[in-house]
Amino acid sequence: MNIFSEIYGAYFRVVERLLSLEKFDKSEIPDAIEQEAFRDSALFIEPKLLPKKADSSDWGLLLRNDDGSFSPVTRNQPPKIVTELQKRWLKAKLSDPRFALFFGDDTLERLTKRLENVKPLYDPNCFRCFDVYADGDDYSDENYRKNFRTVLVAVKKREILKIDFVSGKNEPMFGQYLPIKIEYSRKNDKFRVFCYRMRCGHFSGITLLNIGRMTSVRATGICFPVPHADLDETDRLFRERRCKEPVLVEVSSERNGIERFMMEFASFEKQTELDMSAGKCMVRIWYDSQDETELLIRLLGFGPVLRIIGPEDFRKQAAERVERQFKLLFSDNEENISETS
Amino acid sequence: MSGFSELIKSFDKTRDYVRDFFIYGFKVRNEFDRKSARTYDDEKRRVESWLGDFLRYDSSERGKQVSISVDSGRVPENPLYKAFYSKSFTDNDIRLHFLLMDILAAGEALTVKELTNRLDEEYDAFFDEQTVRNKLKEYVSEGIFISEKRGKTDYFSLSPDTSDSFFGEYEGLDDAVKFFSEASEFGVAGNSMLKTAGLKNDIFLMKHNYIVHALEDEILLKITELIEKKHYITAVNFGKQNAASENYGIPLKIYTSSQTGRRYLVMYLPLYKRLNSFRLDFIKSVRDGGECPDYDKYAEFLGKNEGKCFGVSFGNRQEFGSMEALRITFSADEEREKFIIDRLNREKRCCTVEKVGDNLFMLTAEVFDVNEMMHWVKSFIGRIVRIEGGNEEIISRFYRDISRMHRIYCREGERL
Repeated sequence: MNIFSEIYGAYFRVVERLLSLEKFDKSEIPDAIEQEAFRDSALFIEPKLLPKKADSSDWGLLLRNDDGSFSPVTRNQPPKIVTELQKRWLKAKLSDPRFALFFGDDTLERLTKRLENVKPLYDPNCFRCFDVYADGDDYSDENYRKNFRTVLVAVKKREILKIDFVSGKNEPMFGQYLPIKIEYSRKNDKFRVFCYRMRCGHFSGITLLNIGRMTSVRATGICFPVPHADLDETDRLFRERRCKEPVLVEVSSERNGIERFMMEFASFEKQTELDMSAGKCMVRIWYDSQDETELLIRLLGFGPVLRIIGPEDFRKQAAERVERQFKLLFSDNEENISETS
Repeated sequence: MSGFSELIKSFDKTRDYVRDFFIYGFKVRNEFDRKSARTYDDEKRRVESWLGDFLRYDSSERGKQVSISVDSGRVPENPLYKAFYSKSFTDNDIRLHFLLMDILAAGEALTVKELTNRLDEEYDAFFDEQTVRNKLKEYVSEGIFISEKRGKTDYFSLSPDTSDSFFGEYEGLDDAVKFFSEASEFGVAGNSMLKTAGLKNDIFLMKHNYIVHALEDEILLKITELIEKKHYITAVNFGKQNAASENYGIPLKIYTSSQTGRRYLVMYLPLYKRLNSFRLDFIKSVRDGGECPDYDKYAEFLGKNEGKCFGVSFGNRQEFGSMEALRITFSADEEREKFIIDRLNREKRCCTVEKVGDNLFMLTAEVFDVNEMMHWVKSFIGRIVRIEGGNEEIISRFYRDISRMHRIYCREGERL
């Protein structure tokens, strides 16, 4: 199977988009390129796409009309085929316990039947994620599945939900929420929902609810009448939660610290600067302010090869933990301190 | 920059560059020492074209730094998939693709000769039969066309498995593909399904997501195919110092970490009679080493051993690594700090946790390599009352580390 193939390529998609039009002006080509390809693609696609009279160096897929517009040489809408690779990928996902969350039993049965002669792209048993948390969501639980699907439908319809759930402090809670995005964490193996909290018919901030903690989810039939402005909404969501100031850390190359750090924190937005002569790297990390404690303990895990420089409050939290740890290990034995210093 | 193309023939070189821009972010032009400056300029220009919105330019004393900076928890689509959509092709490839599809879109089944004639007569596109035959054969293996023998002649038709039929007939499939295209292995295959159908992930966000793993999908697929075939493998590896090495063995499993971003190929090495793990991102290519008749024996061997790995290390001894025991006592107020006890229980992996006194909890590990645990153990700084067992070097280093951290954080002015 070939995962890196031109049939999935951006240039093929640009052409497919244009061939699906009966007739179009030259001015419509940049739009197709912008939708499907890359920033500089117009430089490379247009010369090959537009028919040339003098030679046959173009792709031969368009005709120039008398009025200057273009038409495809093809007569049908370009067929959109699900390839063997894609079917095999789907088949491999069928055995994932999360897959069934998206389907009713009957639909899942029909899809399974449709793919019965397809060989899975890979055996999921080839993979072992050795550090996933042990208290992940129970995807086989009927109530969980029902709640997941109600939330999913509400995200798409932008429908307000009435949700009963158990808080992190084990207290029963109830509220009305407008779910906007579903977040999955591989480390936690949990689904959570970003929601607008509703109070007295008004939105009152964004919150994150664990689907696994929901005991009852009911649709209200009230949909929030704003069209999907997807990127804007995600930006808004994270702007509210983004840290006020990035954490600044200094990472040393001791124990391969820089490489380990860069890999582990690859999923963060950050800015790095290397001081070659000192063998150190300064990194600014932007993070979700709700995850501050998680970030702190992950940074402390690097031990003395990483130094938290700021902001002061963040550094202070690290210092308090270190001080407490130092006392736990050394307070009864002052000699140890001098030995290890 | 004449002759520059934003499309690429092979993924290897680009994979290296994109990874360096993404993971390190601090390298300047002359530090990309694997290839020439011209290669750097070409690769940089490609990455700029593919990922322009995510590039960050910074100046440092060493020069201009280009990096890919993205909070992977807030992007609806892995931007690195774009690299997979940049495979180069010939004029014939694209012309045949759309013209053959157009001829067969009417639902007919045609022979190579008929298709070749139709191309010439109806589209003024002259191709020799062999070229058309090769493309048809390729597309049969890709599942785009179906081949059917009638007598001695092959007839070709379009696959009935259209994107519309899949997404239309199975309610929920669009959402499932949106999720899995971002959530796990080979997600780019799902992403390409969405693109074909004109869909985008507008529902899911992925936290703790290492989007850079996508760059390894091509080589990972080759490896999983060889695991499934139960074959030997030679993995060509470029390590930390860029020194090439080859490792011959029996590929058994892919170990992934959801916390460190690392993935490993676990192999049994006949030469050393032991299990070993190799960073997937350091493997540049693999060669099929032929069938391994005793494959199941080695798979079983791994099965017996993996319960004693805290991470990916099988220790140093041949056949069976030697086990090391480690006991760590943590303090946590049972009333007010239950979250610490919960954390221990959900993160302990193959270890055990028991209450050993008032507000004291002991984690016991018996693993091949206790050193692997220490990064995680240090994330409990402020809670560790006692640490025993393991080996002297590791315990001493832990005490030294805490002492050094105390100087760094609690005695101002101390440097790393």
